[in-house]
Amino acid sequence: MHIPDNYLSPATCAVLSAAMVPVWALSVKKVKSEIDKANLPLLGIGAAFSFLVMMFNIPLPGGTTGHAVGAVLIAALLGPWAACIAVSVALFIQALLFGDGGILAFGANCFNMAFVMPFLGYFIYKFITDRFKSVKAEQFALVAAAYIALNFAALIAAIEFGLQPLIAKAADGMPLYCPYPLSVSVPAMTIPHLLVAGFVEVFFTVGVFAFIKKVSPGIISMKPEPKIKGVYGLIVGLICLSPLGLLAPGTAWGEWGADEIKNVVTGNAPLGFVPSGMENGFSLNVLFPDYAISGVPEWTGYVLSALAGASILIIVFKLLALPRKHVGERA
Amino acid sequence: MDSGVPLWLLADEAYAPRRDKDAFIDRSILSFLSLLSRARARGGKETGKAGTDAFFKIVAVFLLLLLISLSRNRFFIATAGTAVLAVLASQRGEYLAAVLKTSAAVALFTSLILLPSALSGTAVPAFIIVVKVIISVSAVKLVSVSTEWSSVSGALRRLRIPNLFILVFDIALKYVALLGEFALSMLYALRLRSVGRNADKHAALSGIAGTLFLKSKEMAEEMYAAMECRGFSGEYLSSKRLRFGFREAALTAGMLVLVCIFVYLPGT
Repeated sequence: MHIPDNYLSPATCAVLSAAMVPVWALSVKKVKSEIDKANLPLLGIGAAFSFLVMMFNIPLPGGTTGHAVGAVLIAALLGPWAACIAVSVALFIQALLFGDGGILAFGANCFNMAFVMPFLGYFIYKFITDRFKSVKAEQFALVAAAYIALNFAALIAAIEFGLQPLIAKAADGMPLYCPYPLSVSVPAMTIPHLLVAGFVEVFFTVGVFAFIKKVSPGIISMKPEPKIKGVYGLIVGLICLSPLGLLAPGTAWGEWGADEIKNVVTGNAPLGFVPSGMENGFSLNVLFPDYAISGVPEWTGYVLSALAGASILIIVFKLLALPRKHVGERA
Repeated sequence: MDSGVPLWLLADEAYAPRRDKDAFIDRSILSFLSLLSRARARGGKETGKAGTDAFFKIVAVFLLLLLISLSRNRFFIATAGTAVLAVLASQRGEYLAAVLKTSAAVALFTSLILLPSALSGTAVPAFIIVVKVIISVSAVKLVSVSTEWSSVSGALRRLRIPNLFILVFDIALKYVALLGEFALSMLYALRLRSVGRNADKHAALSGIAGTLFLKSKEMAEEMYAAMECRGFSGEYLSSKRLRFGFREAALTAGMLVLVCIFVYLPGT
């Protein structure tokens, strides 16, 4: 569910990052006031734990494996506010230090996996355990929380993808980012999550929680009980508002493109909507469709090609010069 | 005739453990191993030999991603791609291998995802999206493999990121390596004991992850005590001075040129 860069428009990324700022600020405040100061390092170590959770390959039927996100587990263990910070930091490390998940899309990834998932999961877990006090009820609560929260987060990610063709189009109607509408992105994202990933998440969450409860019951009963009721409104509001926020910058994008509509029609029409687009699509001249773009001297195209060609050659030779075992180790 | 060896020891052993699909242990071990090799290579003390200052690299890569993502001009995308290629060409072979491996995987994945869209008549935009993704991923991956982890928190401090976040980030980075080692030893233990059929694989894995959590809780308490003993007040100061040499100047100049090209070119 880690969205890479260029799948979402910068406007979407900006809106979702802006939505995360108050959540992060509130999380920090809540963690400071509700969690004992001595637990501060636990946030960092919780983030490390959250990062490592995604490294476990969980067995699936038939010998294949999958990995869990773990946000609901961490929310159940440390509370939703601490989980929000821990998962955010884990996502940040993945994006910046491991190149996994986009940097511009960091806000969007946090929104899905560090906000929607832990808070919704914790809400479901609390809602059930507050009403039914038994071991079975607690297990059921975790199953429901992990399954629903993961799938809901996937749905939100699908909506983010599916809105892209609506809000960010080139002036000639071509998609600039994720090209699939909601009718494609929602089933494509939710079906695998409903059928496989949801169960991976459930097995992991319930299994680890049950283990910790059995081995060290004190830790779970000592867990601080964050007051969550007041923020239901905020969460529901933000979730409802987020698609609106995504749509709002869309008009600005449309206007921006419309200014240049003349340019597009003259310059780009032959490259655009041709049914035999495949022929043009994968030939190199796509990137250099017209050396004489207004204001760019013709020679720059050649300079660029030369520089690119030289760089590619150097890279190839450096790779060839690499000792064989080194390439393997770097994996 | 009595050799002193008990008879049961002389009988042929005919024990063949039943085969089991437990690839999840090996795969988990592999993920942890690759993580730890990264942590050892990048996560140690700052050597000062890591090339360009992390602050410049992070700002530049962020700007580059933003420009690429915003740009609708193919010429700009070609320029940015060439710039990234040129920077890549100046790097060490080990970095290149890591970067190209990731960008090849991401390119393949993105192409597969966009294939239906490309076949339905939007091949050109789909191709541009793939190119954008490759450039962005290569740039980020290059920063990620060429930056020492400890220099990132200093860079974040300069970017005015709140103290609490940097503290959490810093602790997380150190403990990713520590807890990773711990998890790896448990996985090795599980691997050694995995003979025959394991009826409850999830229990085995839950045990490891659960123990990992308990261990991390314990480490957090010890760490807080140690921090308090040393008079930690919660403030994070970057004592290192900003390095501004040839590499930093070249990177700044290159980014300025890219921004100028981006502004200068029409937005189509």
